[in-house]
Amino acid sequence: MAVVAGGLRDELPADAAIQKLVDKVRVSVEEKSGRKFTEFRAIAYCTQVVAGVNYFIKVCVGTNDYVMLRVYQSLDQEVTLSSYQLDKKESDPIEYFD
Amino acid sequence: SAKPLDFQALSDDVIDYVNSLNTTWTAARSPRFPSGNEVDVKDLCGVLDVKHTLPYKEKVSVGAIPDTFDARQKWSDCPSISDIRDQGSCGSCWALGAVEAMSDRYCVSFQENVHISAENLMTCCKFCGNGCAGGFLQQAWEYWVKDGLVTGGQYGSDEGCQPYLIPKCNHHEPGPYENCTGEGKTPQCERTCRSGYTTSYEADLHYGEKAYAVHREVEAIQTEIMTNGPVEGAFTVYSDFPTYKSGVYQHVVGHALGGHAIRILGWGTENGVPYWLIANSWNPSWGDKGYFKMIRGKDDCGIESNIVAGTPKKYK
Repeated sequence: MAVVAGGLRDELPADAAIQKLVDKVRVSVEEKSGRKFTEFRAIAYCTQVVAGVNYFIKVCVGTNDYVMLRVYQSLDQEVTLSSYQLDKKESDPIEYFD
Repeated sequence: SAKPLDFQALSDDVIDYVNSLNTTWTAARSPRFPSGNEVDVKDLCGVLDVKHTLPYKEKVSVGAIPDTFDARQKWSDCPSISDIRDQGSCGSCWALGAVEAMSDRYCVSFQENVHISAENLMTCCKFCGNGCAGGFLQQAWEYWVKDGLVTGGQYGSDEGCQPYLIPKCNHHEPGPYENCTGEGKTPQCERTCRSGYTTSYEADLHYGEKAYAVHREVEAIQTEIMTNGPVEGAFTVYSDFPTYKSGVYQHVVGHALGGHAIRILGWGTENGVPYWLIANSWNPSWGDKGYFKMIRGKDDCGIESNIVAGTPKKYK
């Protein structure tokens, strides 16, 4: 067995803590995408250990309309939106993206 | 404190819980992380069923193994052993742990003071994995033997052929660095040195003689470290780990966040608890001046199962 160090951890269902994270970056996503969301519900996520933690989160924003977020939490707890992907489907897996 | 069953806000509750256990380590109120529900973690994070590409090093006996060993003291003329690097918001721990131990080993074997470039390894080794998206430790050492690695210091150091290009961050406390934004794209592989560096890329390449895995036995790991220098290892990071401040870490609470590679440089015993002395790559403001101690002899979080190392080839 060999270890992928620094890779993505298996997908987990989102919980209240993850919802809190996406709530924090919702405005940033709206500003950058030019979209206004009526719904912004975290569904599932993967974590990656860096100096801090990267969260890759699938968020439901409407009927079969999803966005993927990459959120960085530094070791001093700062939460930042790193990047996002629009027009995702429910069946899309959570994968690493820049 | 009661054991927090709900990890929806891993924060003061969990830190208080860790500290109330009077366990072998203490957590700090900051930094802290939110976390998911506790899950039954049976599999190690990111462990794939991939065959070892490296042969195990044959076991050798060197006689008595000391109770305490610190590579910084044993090879006090080797400054790289005391370095703490910073991976930033990139999953390049696998490359950092490798080049840190490789750098140490040039000094241990040949008294050459050098920093092997993490940038070069994480960007140019394609079969190692995916740069900032994670990588394999064994392949990193194999690449060093086959293709060689140029020199390169920390971010902004202007040192060596290819210094690290991903910025350091402020961690834990306000410090001298910028806050990370998490925009951690893997930089391109370049087969040239930075401008102003007078040696060519080809001439700067440092090669390994041999790369190998080390058996999952405390004595085998100790023998390797005290004979040839620090080694690279990997373990599963649980959500209690980033709160580590001092003492001997062992996993007590929280769920797995992912696999992480580090450099092991010694061992000892603290209040009767045997530990490994380990350098992290989260800069010196994290943990115990950038270091941590981890319980030894239990393969906690897989720390003894993923040891790799190698011997350097003399440069020029």
